[in-house]
Amino acid sequence: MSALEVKGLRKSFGPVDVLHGIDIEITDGEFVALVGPSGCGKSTLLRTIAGLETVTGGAILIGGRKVNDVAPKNRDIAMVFQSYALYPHMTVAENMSFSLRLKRLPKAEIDGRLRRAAEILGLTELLQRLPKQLSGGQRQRVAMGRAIVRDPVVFLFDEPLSNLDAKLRVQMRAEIKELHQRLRTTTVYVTHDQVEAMTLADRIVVMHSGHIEQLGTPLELYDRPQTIFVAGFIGSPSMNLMDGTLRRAGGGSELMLPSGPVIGLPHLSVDADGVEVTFGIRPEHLSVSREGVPATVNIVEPTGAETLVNCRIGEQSVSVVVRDRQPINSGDTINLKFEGATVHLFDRTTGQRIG
Amino acid sequence: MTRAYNPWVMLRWALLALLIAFVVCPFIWMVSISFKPEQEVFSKTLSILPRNPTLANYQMIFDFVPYPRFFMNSMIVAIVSTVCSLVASTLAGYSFSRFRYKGRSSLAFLVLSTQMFPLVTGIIPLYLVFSKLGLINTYWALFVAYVAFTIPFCTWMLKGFFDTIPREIEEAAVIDGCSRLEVLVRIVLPLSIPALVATSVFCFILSWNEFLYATVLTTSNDVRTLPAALGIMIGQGYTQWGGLNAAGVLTTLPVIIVFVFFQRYLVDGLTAGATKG
Repeated sequence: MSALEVKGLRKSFGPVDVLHGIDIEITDGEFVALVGPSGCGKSTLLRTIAGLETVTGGAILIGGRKVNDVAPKNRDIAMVFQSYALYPHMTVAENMSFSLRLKRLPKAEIDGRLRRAAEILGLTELLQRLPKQLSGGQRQRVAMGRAIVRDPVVFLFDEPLSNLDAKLRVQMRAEIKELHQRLRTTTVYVTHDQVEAMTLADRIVVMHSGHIEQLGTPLELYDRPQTIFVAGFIGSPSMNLMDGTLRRAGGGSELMLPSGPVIGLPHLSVDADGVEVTFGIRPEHLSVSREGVPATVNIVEPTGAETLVNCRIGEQSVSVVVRDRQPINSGDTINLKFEGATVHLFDRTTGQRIG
Repeated sequence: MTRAYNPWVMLRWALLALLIAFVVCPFIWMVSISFKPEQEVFSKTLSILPRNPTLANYQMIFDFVPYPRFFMNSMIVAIVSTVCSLVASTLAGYSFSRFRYKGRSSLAFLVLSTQMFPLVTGIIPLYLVFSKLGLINTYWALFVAYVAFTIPFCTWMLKGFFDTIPREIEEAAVIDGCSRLEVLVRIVLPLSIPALVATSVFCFILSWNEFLYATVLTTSNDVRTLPAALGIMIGQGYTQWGGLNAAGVLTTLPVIIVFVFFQRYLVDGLTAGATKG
């Protein structure tokens, strides 16, 4: 059974259409991430599922029940906000048990649920503290605790890690993953950080200006992006995308860049000749070799494990990830090897994948 | 050069001292007179400390003037007006701060614009309306008048504070199961205590001190409040200055107590909207 189903969901704010017919089906226990640039409608989608925004058209089903007109508290969901949204005047225990007290559950049950959630999240020592006496990571955990005690059908996360510093973010990311593996509660997770989405989610929904660009597992999106947008959005450092004309050459083909240089692709056979395409190749699939397309090094960014080299082929900027430590300096000329690499071809007008 | 000798700093302190003297001297003078026997009040040599201190003036206002009655009237009027004004302003301020509806901003501006008219312009129409309704010389006249002119300021002050409370906290409460009113009572109001205290103190002091409406709308000692009562103690030919000042001291005391007690909240509340991001 699907835990959450969104069918042809549309949402407008006055004359502005924010969501144009969204269809997603999420199975029980699945972790789905909604990613996209700001303004793509991912947060609106989450808020509509939560019931904080009304639906303009289409339907939302939670646990098989249509909830378009059901109040948020009766949707069997729990939400974690970006700013944590803890109640500043209540202790950690009061924050976490607030929803249960509103439901007038018996005190013994409230205490039991509170204790279990506090143990899972390591908050037992902090139950009597106020939110202002907690660190950012602890506050984030309390916000999750508030969701866990309700034992909902769906967890909704709205960019929960954006307010944390980089190191804590990585740590909390692992905690969220562990939590999900333990509780197996269906989760919808909004983020603008594609790394977060890749590492956490079973499936990712890439959104762009109110549409779903692509829906699939993290590796599907990485290996076979269906549109130029997804190709550029998923993966870090992002994919090299270059416009050019693809021509047949011998058994393979070659790409002519507008500024002149020609990139030979002997392993890539194409049907048509002289097609205008957007050609994509990931920085980690390029390599520096003795032979290949000459490029001028622009910037060298070592990160320790690998080095990101930004260079130019003609006027086209290209990034390469180099794993071994090579003496490459700004201003050098290096040769880039395209042969044998995974490449992506997109129709330049429709943005859709063609090969 | 050290700061202490900076002439500008010296000038600033001098100006402040002058201002404080301007504000405080009448109080000192009032307290001083309240303890002086009558012949000393009119003596040609000025003295701050009474030469023959006496409590006779205080004795007098309890013996010949129904001072406790006036005090009770003032208390009733100030407390009821404050409570009514606070309830109405809280709801209005929350509505202006959180809900989106047609005419919201014009309505909010209309509420504010009532502050542009001097109080005195309202007195004659209000008197006529109240006399038609038979409300002259009742507490109701004062309740209505005071609530009417404290609501605009309180509404805007509370709206400003509510604006600083993050929406997400309220949304979290809605998901947790609160109705709109529960959100207000359980989440917003506890967080707004500094603003609520500041607003109440403002209402209380304003209603307690108000003279013009109290004088015009009350005609008997049964409902007359302290400022109006003090006013009629000033006779045409002869004024009991000692008694008047003793009553003045007793009238000022509650205000000073309220102010000192809630001072911290008052300053917090007045600046909260401006600085709390």
